[in-house]
Amino acid sequence: MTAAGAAGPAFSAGPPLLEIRDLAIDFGPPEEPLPAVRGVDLTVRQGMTLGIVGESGSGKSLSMLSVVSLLPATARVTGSIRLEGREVRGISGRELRKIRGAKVGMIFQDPMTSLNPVFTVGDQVGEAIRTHDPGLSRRAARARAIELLADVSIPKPAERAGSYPFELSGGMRQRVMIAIAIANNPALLIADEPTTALDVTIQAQILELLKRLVDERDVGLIVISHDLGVVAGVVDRVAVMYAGRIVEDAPVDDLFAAPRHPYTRALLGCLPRLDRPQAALTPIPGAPPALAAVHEGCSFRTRCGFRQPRCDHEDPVLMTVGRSQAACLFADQIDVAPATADGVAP
Amino acid sequence: MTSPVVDQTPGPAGGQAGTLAAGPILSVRDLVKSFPVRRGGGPVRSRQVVHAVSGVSFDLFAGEVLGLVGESGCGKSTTGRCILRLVEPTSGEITYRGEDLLSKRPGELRALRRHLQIVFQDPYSSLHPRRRVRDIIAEPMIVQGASSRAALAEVPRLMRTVQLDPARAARYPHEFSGGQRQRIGIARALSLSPEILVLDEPVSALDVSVQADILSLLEDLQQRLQIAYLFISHNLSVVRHLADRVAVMYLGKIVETGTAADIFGRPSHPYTQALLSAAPIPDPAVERGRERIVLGGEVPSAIEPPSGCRFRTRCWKAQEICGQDEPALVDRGDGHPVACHFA
Repeated sequence: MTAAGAAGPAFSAGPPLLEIRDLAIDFGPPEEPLPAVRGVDLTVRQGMTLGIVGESGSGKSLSMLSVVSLLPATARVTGSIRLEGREVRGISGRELRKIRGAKVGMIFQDPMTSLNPVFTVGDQVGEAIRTHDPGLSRRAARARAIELLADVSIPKPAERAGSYPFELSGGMRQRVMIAIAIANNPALLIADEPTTALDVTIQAQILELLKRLVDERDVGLIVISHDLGVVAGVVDRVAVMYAGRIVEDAPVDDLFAAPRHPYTRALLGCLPRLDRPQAALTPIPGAPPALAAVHEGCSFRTRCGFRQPRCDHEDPVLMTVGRSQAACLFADQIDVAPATADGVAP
Repeated sequence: MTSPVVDQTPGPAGGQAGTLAAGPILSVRDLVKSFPVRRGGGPVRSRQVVHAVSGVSFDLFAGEVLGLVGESGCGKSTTGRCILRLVEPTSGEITYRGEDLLSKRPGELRALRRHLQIVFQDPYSSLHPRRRVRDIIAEPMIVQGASSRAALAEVPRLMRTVQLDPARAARYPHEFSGGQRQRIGIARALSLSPEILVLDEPVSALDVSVQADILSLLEDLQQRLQIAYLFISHNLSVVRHLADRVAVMYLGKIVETGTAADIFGRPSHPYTQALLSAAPIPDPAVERGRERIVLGGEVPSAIEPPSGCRFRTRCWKAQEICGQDEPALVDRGDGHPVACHFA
C-alpha cells in the first residue's frame, strides 16, 4: 500500500482541478422541486484522491455526473462547477465535448453496458483517442490503443484489441473502460463504483491499477462508492453524503478513527469486520428521508442516536473540528459519546 | 455467535461431542452438477459441459451456521439450489435426517421441503409483484396443505417475527423498500418452521445500513429459533460475522473448511489466503499495513477446468505435482481440512 497523503500532502498551488461550490440538483416541477443534491462543496487538487461515500439515493453519483453534464435532461443544476478554474456548468455541447475525456475521464460501474457490444475494444479505445485528436490516422490510433491496453495490464494487448466486449471477463472489461478514461490524459478521473460489479480478487486488481495510475500520472481521482472498505485503502480524503448533502468531509484517517458526524459513526457501526471478531452490528434505525421540498432541521435526526431538541429546527452547516468538517450541531462533542445508534444520554 | 462450534470433517465419520450429538441433519456427498451448453450457435454444434459443482461434500448440523463462500461461478449458489432440488444434481447424495432427498418423488419431496427453505438474493425478483404480501407469506403453508384461512391467520405473527407491521399485509411488494422485501422473503421461508434455511446472498443487494439490519435479524432469528443456516455469500466479512463454520469454494470444489476461527485466523489454502487478503477492511491504518496478495489472472473456465489442482493457474505455490494430482480435501487431524499439496 502506498500511504498517499495520510498526513496531508502539500498540493500544488494554482486553481484546483475541480472546485464545486454550492451545487444543487433538483428534479420535478419547478414550483414543487425535489432536491436530490443540496449545497455541495468539494475541491480536488492534482494528485489527490477523494472518496465520495453514501448509500443509494444519497446524491453521490448525481453530484459527479453533473461535472460532465451527464444528468438526465429533467435535472436542474445550480451552483458553480469549475474545472481548472473554468466554469463548466451550463456550457455548450461543443465545449462540453472538449472536456469529456480530455479533462475528465469517467469510469462507470458496469463495463458491459458502458462499452459498445458491436465494436472491438481496440476500436473503442481508438475512437476515444481520435475524438480528441481527429488528425491521428486509424493506424496510429490503433497502435496507441494497444499501448493503453498494455498500460492497464491487459495481457496480450495486441491480440485483445481485436476482442469484442462479450469475449472479455468483467475485470478485463473494466480495464478497457479505464484505458478509455485515460486515453487523452485527463487531469481528473471519476470512478463511479468501479469495482462494485467485480469479484473481490478482481476488485483488488482494479484498485491496485487505479492507485498505480494516480501515482504514475499524477492525476486527481474521485472514487464514488457505497463501500467504506474500498475507499479506506485508496483515497486521501473522504466526503460522506446523506440525503443529498455532504455531512462529513475529512482526511481518510480522521474519518475512520474519529468520525464527527453521527451518520458516519453509524455507517461504520453497520460494517462487519473481516479482521477481527465482532460482538454485534448496530444497524441504523429507520430509512433515509424521501426527497421533499422543505426539510426542517437536520435530515438525519430521526435516525440519530445523538438527537437533541435543537436538531428538530436548526439545519446544521459544516462545522470544522480539527481536520474534519461535519454538518452536525454537535460535531465537536461527538467523540466523547458512545458509538451506538440506540441512544446517548443528552 | 454463541452457538457451539462444531468441528466436523466432511468425511462420513462423525465423532460428535457435546450438545449436537445427533450428528448432521443434512449431509451432502460428492455432489456434482454439470450444465450442458451449446457453443458456437451455428450449425456446427459442439456439446460442452459446464462443471458448476464437481464433487462437493459437507455436513450441516442442527442449529449451526455454515458459511459457503467463494467468488462468482464457484458453484456456491448451485450447491444451495441442488440441496432443495431447485436444480437437479447430476450425481451425488443429499440426505436430510437419513432421508435421501434425491430419490424422492415430487409428492414426497414436497413433504420434506417443509423442513428446508430458501431465501434468495434479489428481493425484487423473488416476490410475485401482483400478489399481496399476506398471500406471498401464506403460500408455502397452503402448498403444504393448510387451509387458506388457517394460513392467513399465521401471517401477522410471521410479519412481526421479521419486524414488519402486520397492518401492511394487504399491500403489494412494490410498496416496500428493498430491506422490507427481504424481510417478506424471510417471513415466507419461516412460515413452515423449517429446520434448515438456505440463504443465498441474502444481503448482497442491500445498502450497508439495511444490510446490517437484515444481518441482525437473521442472527437474532437463528439464536431464537435454532434454525441451521447454509449461508451462501461472496462477502467474507458478512460470513465472518455470522458463521460458526465456513467452507471455501473455488471452481466447483471446496478447497478448505473449518471453524470460522480457523478460516479467518489460520487460513491454509492459498486461495483462502488470497481471498482474505483481497477483501477490503474499513480502516485506512490497517489497509496501509496489509501485505496484500493480489492474484494474477482470473478464474479459469468451468468448461475445461485445469488438470490437477484447479487453483494452480493462479497459485504462487504451484509445482509440477499440482498439475498432475488433484489434492484431496483431507483433514490433517485438526478438524480443518485443506485441499492443497502444500498445506
